[in-house]
Amino acid sequence: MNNTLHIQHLCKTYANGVQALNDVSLTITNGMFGLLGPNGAGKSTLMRTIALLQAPTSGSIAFNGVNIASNASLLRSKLGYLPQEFGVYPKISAQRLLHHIAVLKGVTNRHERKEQVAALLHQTNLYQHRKKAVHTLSGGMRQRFGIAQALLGCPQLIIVDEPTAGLDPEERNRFLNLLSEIGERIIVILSTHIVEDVRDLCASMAIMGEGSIIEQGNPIALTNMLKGKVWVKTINREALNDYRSAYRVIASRLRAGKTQIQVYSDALPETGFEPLTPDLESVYFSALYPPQNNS
Amino acid sequence: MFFSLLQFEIRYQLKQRAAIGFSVVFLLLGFIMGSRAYVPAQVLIDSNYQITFFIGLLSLGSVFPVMFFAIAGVLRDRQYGMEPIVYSTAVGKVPFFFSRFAGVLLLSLLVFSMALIGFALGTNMAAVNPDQLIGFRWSYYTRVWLIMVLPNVFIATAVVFSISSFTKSNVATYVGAVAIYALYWICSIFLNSPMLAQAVTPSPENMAIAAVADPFGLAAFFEQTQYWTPFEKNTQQVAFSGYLLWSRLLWSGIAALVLVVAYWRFSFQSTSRKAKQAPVITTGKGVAYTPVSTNTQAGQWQSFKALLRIELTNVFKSLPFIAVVLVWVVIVASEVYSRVYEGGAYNDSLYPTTNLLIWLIEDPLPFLGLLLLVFYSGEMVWRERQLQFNGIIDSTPVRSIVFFTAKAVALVLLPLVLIAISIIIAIGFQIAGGYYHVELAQYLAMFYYSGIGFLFYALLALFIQSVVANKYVGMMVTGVIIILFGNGLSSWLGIEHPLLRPGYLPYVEYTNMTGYGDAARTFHYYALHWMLLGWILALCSFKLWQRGVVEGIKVKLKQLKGWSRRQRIILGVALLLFMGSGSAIYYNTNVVNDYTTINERLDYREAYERKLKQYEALERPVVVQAKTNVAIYPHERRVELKAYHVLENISDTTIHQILVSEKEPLQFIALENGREVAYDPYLEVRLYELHPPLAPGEQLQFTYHLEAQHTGFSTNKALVNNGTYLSQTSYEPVLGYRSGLEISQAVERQQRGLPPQEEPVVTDDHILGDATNKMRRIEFETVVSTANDQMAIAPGNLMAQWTGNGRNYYHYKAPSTIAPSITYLSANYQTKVQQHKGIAIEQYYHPSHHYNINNIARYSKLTLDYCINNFGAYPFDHLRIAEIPGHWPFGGQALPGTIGMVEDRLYLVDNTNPYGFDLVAKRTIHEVAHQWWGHILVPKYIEGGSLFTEGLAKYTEAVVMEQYNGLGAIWQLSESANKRYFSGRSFATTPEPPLYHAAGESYLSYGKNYTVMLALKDLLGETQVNSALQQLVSRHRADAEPTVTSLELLDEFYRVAPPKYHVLIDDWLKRVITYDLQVKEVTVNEQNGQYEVVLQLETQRFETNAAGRAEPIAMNEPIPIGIFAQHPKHLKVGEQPLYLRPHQISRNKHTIRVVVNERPTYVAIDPFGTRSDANRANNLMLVE
Repeated sequence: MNNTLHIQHLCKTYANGVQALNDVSLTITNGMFGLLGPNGAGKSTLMRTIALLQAPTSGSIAFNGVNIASNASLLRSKLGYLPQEFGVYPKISAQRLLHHIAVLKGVTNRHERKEQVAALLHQTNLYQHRKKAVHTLSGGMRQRFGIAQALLGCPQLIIVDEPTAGLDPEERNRFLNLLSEIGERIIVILSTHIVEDVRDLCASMAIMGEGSIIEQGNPIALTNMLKGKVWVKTINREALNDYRSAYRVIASRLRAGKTQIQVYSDALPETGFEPLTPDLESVYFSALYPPQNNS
Repeated sequence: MFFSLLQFEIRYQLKQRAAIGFSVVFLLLGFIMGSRAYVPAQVLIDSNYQITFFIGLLSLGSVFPVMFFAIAGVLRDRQYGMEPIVYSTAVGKVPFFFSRFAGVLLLSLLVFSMALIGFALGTNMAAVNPDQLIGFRWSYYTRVWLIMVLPNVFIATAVVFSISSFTKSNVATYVGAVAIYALYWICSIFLNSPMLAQAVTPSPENMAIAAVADPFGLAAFFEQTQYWTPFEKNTQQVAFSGYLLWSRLLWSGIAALVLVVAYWRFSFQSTSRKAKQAPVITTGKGVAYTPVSTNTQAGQWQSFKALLRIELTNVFKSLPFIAVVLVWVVIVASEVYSRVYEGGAYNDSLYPTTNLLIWLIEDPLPFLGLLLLVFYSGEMVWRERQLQFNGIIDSTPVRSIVFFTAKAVALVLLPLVLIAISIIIAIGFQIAGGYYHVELAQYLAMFYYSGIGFLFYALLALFIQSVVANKYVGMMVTGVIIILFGNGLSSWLGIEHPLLRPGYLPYVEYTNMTGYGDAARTFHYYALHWMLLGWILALCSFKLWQRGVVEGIKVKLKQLKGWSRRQRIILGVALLLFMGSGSAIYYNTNVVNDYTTINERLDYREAYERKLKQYEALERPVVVQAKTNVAIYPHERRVELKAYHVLENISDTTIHQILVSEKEPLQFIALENGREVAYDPYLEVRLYELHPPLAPGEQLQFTYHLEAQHTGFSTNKALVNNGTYLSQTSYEPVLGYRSGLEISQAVERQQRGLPPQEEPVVTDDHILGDATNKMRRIEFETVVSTANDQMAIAPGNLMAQWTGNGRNYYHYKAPSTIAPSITYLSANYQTKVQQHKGIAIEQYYHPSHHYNINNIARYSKLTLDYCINNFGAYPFDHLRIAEIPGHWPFGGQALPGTIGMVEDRLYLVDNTNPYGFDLVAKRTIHEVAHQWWGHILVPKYIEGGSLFTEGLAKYTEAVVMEQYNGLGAIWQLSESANKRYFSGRSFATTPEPPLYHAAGESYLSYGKNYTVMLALKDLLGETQVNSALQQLVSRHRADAEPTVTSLELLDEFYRVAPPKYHVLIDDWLKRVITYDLQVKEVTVNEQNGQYEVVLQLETQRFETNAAGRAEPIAMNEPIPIGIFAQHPKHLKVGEQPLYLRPHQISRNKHTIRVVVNERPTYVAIDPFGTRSDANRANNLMLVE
């Protein structure tokens, strides 16, 4: 089945005046969708809004052509959601809690539930810890538990908010593999500030900043668009501000004590700059630091 | 370091809204107590005693701020995730731990001390009667602060803080607070709630246990001050000594110890004790993940069950809940045990009937039940949010209503669990006590009668929690609403009408005779009404139920707007029904009946006094002949009373006018020769002019008809479905001004501009000369009828009995004139009649209450015999003893020839313990004796009259019981009478008069009267006393108008007493004398099988002067000294002490030598309580 999630002109303004979402429009279909953005960009607000945990100020979301605000239970029955941060009831074992959530998700058949819970415990490598209370598990294990619960039932739309934070590389790999396997048949929205997650997994992506979608498309296509336009130079730290005012500096980082800057420019900015083969990170940074007025 | 930490701590805590909130609350509470304190008229409000009393009670509430501050002080690191940062700083354990503790302590002290300020302001600023004020004194307040406030807040803080820091759990912190309360509760059970003046005071041993065990020091305070007279309360300061000192030291020590242990266990590393395990990586083999189909429709029911199960697991399995349950078990068990087994005023036991146990349980139930609701409503509603589990759970397809319902059901189950536990314990008690008559239906009805209130408050609490943005605010609001409206405190705000008091439910008491009675019907209405409101609240809270992020109040209100069609219909129907039930209640309360507020009643009384006081001096005719026709319709709660009276002018002036004040609206009234000249329908009075006027000695006819129908919600314990007990005086119009309607509170009178009430000055001349309360013995005849399943009883010989119109008729006629106390009884009775020397002993009792019938009959006969032999003939051919329902507050009531006895105070007394006190005998003797003392000998209705009625009835108890129950019974009677005297006088509202001027004070009637009569019997001998009494009876039994007074009784005593004792008789009857007698030391020397006992005595005598001060005075009188082989309370019939003889006591210290033939175990001065002595325990000493 081909699923579509259609987000139109979504806005959210908090009571204190902060505009968390500013006219966000997206269309997402089956497969992994990466949502990239720095902290505070509005990713979590968007995720929560799609998961119906927060009402938008204006705009609409449709899942497979049905408006979710007026058909909440329809979406929820097809939703798997892993919040950025979550806790659990104390003193309840992982297995028991998964069963509990499975019931809430509508897995009414006892036998099926048992099998699925067992499978997920295996897949998330929690099987030998299944009798332990979740709140005593380590951060990584708890994150894996979160993933397991998101996959319970038969989700058509999975929203995972910063899922790889706190996972070690091994765990992260397992997790991403699992997601990409599932992601072939359903929509998986992966919100992250880690560029590699998106680069490795997603066929389409969007970059968010200050509540708006700055860039969206296929990661490779987006990267290709930057070819020949990103330059790099090692400078003295004191000169950074001069470069900032003169060029569109999209990134600066320390390399062996020296400052290396990346500059976006259609042509060689000045001598000393070397061309850089752009990667997704360049796309990300260039999206976040758009051309300034004075350049 | 410490001080800068402390500074930060205080600044942080002060910023909490709770600090300001609690300060305001305590300031207000203190102010209210100070300005509206209900204290007896002659007690000063701002004495050290009263401040200690009020602030001490209020200090129970200090646990709340302590709890809040402890949570903020201890748990904030964890709550806000600051633990790792704070714990890794260089701060030392001592400054960290103790600065946190000091912060909580100081803040709690600060906040609670507001109560003292409020109290001082309240007494000085509000409209308090200035006669009841001393004026502000620093020393009083400082003393209270040091003795009560500081230790209590410290103890509470140390315990709660330690629990908090040890468990790191909110709920455990609450439970710790509750546990401290529970301890106080248990102590007050031991003390029988010393906050109220009452007949039952605990034994010294229980008092000592309670005094030491109560962490708040209140029990010790009550122990110290229990017998303080008003004068002492006004002048003495609470002494920091004795149990009070010990309890303060003990608990401060325990608290400090707990704190030290908590400090010792506290560790910066202790956030999670288990070592983290390295993750075991296994390859993701095993079963492959496949999506499975879901069924969200069918899944809702399963989800509900799963959610409910998880809620219950969370609560029931949590240690805190178990702790509350344990506390409850202890409370129920001790409550039941302490009353059922030797818990009565005479250490008597009761049969553990179901209704009695339920009554005992229902008393403390709301306290813990509502506490659970208040706390757990917050915990449950906010649990997922606080755990941050809401993101996961709220995005499942479970409908909001299922979430909501699961929580609501789980919450309601909490108090129901308490009820279920108490039922199991109660049944356990019944079975253990060999009482197998377990009425399961009554137990199950508890879930309704007690459960409905919980259900409503649970829904209310959920609603409040869904409106507010913070669970603590929600808890506080819920708590305030429950306290304000649940207890009727809202009348302070002018909110009185039950419809405006959400959760108000009428009190329904079950008695075996009347069942749930008429109040049950009212209860059903209110139950339905609040259930509908609860339903509406539930709908709203469900609408406000938020998934995901919590929004502000604006968004919430917006949420309340969008109702679906179905929801609108449900809400609409609920609102309609709610208005319907409200209207029905309003109709039954305000339309069918006259609803009056407290203020309206006061207005009425003010108007009555203002308009009619002028008629107070009118001479009134009295009833000399009463003929009535009474039709009781018990099942319809209706009575028709037709009275055909003859009135006579027994004064020596001519009567021109008669004022008739109605008690019930009259249907017909006719006064011979009378013309109605004025009628006030508001005051319900009529004024008649007599043409011709009624000359002294002349008579006239007085006829009236009335019909009293209790409709709607008006209930009346006199007129019930089974067990009617109608006193004629409560219906009969009064032929004159009713001074009893005058407002008696001085402050209220002042505010309304009424002149102060005059207090009569009691003198001997007044007693002899006063003629205001005239009455006559009357000729009495009645035809009383009732439903065909009941019998009707009234005073008089039964002349005829017949059945007609499906009703039973009885014709009673008094063989001679009787005192005018007429009451009509009707119930479904079982009867037992025994003939005894020409007198039919007729017993009428509830069919299942057969336990004590034989004993009642036996003592009726013994008492009749004793009284006939010693005091004079009995006028009737019968002695009727009829059972009346347990809702009457007295032990029994004697009418002429007929006695009304209350269910649980006679029929359900468990008299099977052969070593126990025979309460059945005591009550029977007392009421039978009243036939002589009150009916054959009617004292003049004036001060000193209670010496005859109650004093001589108590005397008869003593002489009959000594003969048939042994001296041990006397010991118990004296113990109870002595306690009654000392605890009663300490709560007296007027200065204590000497006995012969007593105005019916119950502590004198049932207390000192007895002690003095017993002393007279010892001094003069039983024969002499009886001969004096017999003289009075034979002289006055034919009086048409009662004239005998206490002065005449004194004269009779003088006549039979040697002149040297006249002063002593005066001391006891004409002065207020108390004693302090004690055995200081005893030594026993054995010689040739004989025992020489040497007693060292200390004795003192006090006279309480007019101001109330007890001054030591000299003594020279014979006081009995006793030597016993066993405790004197265990002496049975025929058993005598080894030695019991009066010794002349004239100094403060005496040494007495006595030789006895058996080894003594106990020695005593005044062992059987012939002197009023506040500390009787030290009269007795165990021989080592």
